[in-house]
Amino acid sequence: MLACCSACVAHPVGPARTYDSYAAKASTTIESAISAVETVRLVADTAAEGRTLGPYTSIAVSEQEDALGGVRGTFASIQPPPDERSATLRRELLDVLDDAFDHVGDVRIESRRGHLDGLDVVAAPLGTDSKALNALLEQLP
Amino acid sequence: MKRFLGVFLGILTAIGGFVDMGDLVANAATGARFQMTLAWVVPVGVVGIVVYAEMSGRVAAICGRPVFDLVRERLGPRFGMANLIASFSINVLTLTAELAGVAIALSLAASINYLLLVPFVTVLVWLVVWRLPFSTMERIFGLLGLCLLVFVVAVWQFGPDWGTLWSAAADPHVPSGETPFTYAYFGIALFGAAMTPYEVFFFSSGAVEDGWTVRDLNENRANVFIGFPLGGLLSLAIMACAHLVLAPHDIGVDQLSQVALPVAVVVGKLGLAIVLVGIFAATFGAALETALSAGYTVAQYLGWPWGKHRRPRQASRFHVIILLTLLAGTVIACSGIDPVKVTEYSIVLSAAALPLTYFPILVIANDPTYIGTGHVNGRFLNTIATIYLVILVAVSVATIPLMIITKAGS
Repeated sequence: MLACCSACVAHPVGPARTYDSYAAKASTTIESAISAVETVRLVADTAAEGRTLGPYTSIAVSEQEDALGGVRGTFASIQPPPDERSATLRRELLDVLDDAFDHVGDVRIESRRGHLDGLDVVAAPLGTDSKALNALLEQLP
Repeated sequence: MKRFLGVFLGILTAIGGFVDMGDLVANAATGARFQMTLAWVVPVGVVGIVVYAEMSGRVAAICGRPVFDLVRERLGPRFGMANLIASFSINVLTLTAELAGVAIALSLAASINYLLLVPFVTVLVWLVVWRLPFSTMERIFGLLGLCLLVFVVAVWQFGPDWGTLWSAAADPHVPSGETPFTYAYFGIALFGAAMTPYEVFFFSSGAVEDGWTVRDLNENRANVFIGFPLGGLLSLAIMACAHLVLAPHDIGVDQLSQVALPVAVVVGKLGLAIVLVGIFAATFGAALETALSAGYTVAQYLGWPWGKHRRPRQASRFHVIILLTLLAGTVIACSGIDPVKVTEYSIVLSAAALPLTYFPILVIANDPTYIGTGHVNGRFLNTIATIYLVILVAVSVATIPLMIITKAGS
């Protein structure tokens, strides 16, 4: 039971020795980030159509903001292998994750202010983030 | 008429009470990630729980003693202790997940961090266990759980191509991008969610609490043969909602709020409000069942007086076990642990412990010294139950290796 509980909290991720293993970790990171970004987009669009409740919207967006922050933090903490491709991948992915995190934060702020009507507009930049994440995913081996 | 109404209410309660946090998470996560390719596991799990719950209800109604009470006597203290340790540990994990689930459902309605609500939920669960009569408690949360039928409404309102949906469900295969190992791991999670051990302990102890006798065998059959399969349909509707709404957006289910999202998208505000009530009722009802099951299993193994049909003073140690289990669940839930991951682990580990729970039921349901020659299993039922026992052993053996190979399905 203890082993199970310890597996359910945030834990450190080991270093990547090769580009392929680093790319695999990046791929998992991107998939999780896409899920978070798309969830926020769907929640924002649904809220803008008047189909969600205010408390639900703000909590659902906050959860995804936390998830995205966790994903970003975990990926940033991975020691990349000493090659240029890995360094480029790290820089590009962290840039996109930073943008997405900021944009999700904007949606969270507006939803907590109760401005649900225009939430789809606030969430619009997340469409670009999602495309960038998908483009990065396609580049990976 | 009164008897018919009782049976009808029992069926409705069985439907509403079928889904818990494990079913919500497992079905939604599977639908979002594997679409409907694992839908076949739900009916397989439902048939399994129907077969074994019917046996445990029949044994309890005829002997007036629940299954766990008989396990130690029939199979010895060592087997009973192994069963107790496995089921109690899983119970604590499941209770943790259910308490967190109730708190999250409330937080989604009140915009308060769920961690602040967990202690409040624990007190509420304890008060209900302490004060509310068993049948009232069972009925209220079982019937409120029917709010989850809004998932069926959402699928209907979404208006999918039913032929395509059926083809997807009737064509089990490993989707591209997945491995046979992750497919099997999520299949086991769905199977474990349908056949969680606490359900049979609660069901058979509940039969004793409700004072079932041989005359109630038909109610037992109606509950399991009608109520559980309809509860299984509810599970499929949750999976279909995730498949139809979340999968096209590449959304994976990591939070309980994502389970409710398809209903908001398709049905709107009212649907969302109803589904939140349903999630609250389903998880609260399951928290009551797991807390009580913890008390039932320990008290029945040790031969202590147990049950809500007794005054708390007459079953004090039973109530102390419930209280301590609730406190343990609360501490774990408040530690910042991921409630969805706890749920996933609890259902997968339940799958690993299933033979320990279900083998004794099969043995006792075949023992005429306990239930008389007229009520032992027939040949057909024994064939199905034995096939399921083989499946349970295979699942149990495969669970831990699959958990390691797939890094818990990641």
